[in-house]
Amino acid sequence: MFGVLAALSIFSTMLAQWAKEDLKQLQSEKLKRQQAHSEDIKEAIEIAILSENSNVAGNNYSQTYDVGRAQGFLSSSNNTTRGGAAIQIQEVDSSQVQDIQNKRIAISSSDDTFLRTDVAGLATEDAIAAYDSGLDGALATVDTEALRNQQVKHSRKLLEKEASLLYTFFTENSRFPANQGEYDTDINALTNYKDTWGNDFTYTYASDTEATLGFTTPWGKSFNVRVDMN
Amino acid sequence: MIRAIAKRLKSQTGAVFGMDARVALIIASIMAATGGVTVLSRVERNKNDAAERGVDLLVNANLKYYITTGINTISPDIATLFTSGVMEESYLQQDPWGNNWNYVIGSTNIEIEDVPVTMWYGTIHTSGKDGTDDSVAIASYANWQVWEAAGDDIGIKFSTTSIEKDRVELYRKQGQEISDRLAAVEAAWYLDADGACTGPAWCTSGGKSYTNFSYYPISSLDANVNIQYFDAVCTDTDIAGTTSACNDVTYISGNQGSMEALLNLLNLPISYATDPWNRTLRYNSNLTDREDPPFSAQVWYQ
Repeated sequence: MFGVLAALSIFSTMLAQWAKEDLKQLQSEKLKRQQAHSEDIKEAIEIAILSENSNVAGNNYSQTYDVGRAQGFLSSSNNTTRGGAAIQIQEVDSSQVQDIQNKRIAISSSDDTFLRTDVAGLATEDAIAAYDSGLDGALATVDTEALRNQQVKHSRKLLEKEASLLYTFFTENSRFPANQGEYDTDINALTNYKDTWGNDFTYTYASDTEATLGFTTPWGKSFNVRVDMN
Repeated sequence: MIRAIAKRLKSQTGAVFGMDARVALIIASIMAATGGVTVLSRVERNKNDAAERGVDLLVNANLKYYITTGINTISPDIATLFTSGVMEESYLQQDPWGNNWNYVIGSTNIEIEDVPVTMWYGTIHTSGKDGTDDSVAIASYANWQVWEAAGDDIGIKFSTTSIEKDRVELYRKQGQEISDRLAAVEAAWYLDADGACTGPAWCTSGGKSYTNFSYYPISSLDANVNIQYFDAVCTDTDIAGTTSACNDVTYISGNQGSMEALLNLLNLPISYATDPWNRTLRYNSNLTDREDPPFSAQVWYQ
């Protein structure tokens, strides 16, 4: 009888130990998967922003940053958490640069109810940063300011390159293009430069010696280069 | 009689021991059943885990195939991942239940920062224990976006967007470096000529003064016969200290070897002769087809 009891107790202890190790390993794997999943959603949101283009159906500029946008660009993951819940995206207002209200976005693919409640309560940029660092990278975060700056910077660079060709045109013709049509044909047809959203630059003729080339961001901020030979 | 009863009672000790044995048997049975159920459920869970890991490995192998072999196309089927060498785990040719993996792919065109790219997308999933595909079929990019493995299916969506994003960055970097180096060479050659042109005959060629030369390396795309390239008239000995800069070469746009030679001249890696999509570098030294300054050059991949 004692032998049976001893065997039972050894068996139970072994089973408990086995379950404990198993649970630990499962939790570790689960956390790694969640982190990878959150990072994938983050990158998908970034690509969704960077691929905004007025000439590609469904990829227009948008200030909505949700799973709906991300799911078109996921690299290797699914649209919901492993437990089948919606991916949690918590966005808060951050800086206002280039006349656009930027956002800090926290992404979590966790099924943990407590964590989800915490994430839903993150109301400021600092709160997101503090929570993320406290939990050793449980969240992935997106800062839209860097991406919007990148879009503007790229557009401005092409705008300046294009403007340099206006001077070349002037050298040859002793005047700037008379209108958008002439600019399109004689200058833009060579380079085919557009702003980052796929829109043509806007050319404005002021006089034979003065013109302006520019673009307007989808949120209404204008950038111009004035060329003046006076 | 009394003796017989006493003997039977004595033999009851055997019955008491028999009871112990029965209790032990019951406990052992419960333990065996518990263990059995645990083992069986673990076997099944292991199969699910193996399926998840298998799907991850297959997706990673497919993306590796895209980067190293396909370049512009992902694997047409699962078998190619094994025959091409990107997938070594041969036991994953089928799912853990011995069935074929479900593999669907498609492509769509997007623009990342106004750079047109083809984005490949797909799903890899197993039909699970029941062997029945419960997931919605994918007929379009829109289907793929909302796709989820259903029922007991285990699977994952994948796409090449992340790779394309990296490629766009690399493409931009290459283009910018080539453009910067062309501008630097043009400026350096002009300064060389400006320093040397107090007497050499070549300083006035084709009816032009050296100040009206183009200082870009010559490209095969420039058909303007009235332009005078510095590169075409100077000789190595004309310019002290810059013997390698002046090499009288016409660089053939789109020709791999010639574009590599141009990159050598620009002191850039010859790998820049192709872009991340394996398109060859093109170079036009006279974009605006002018005979006199200012000149504009252009590089692109096609």
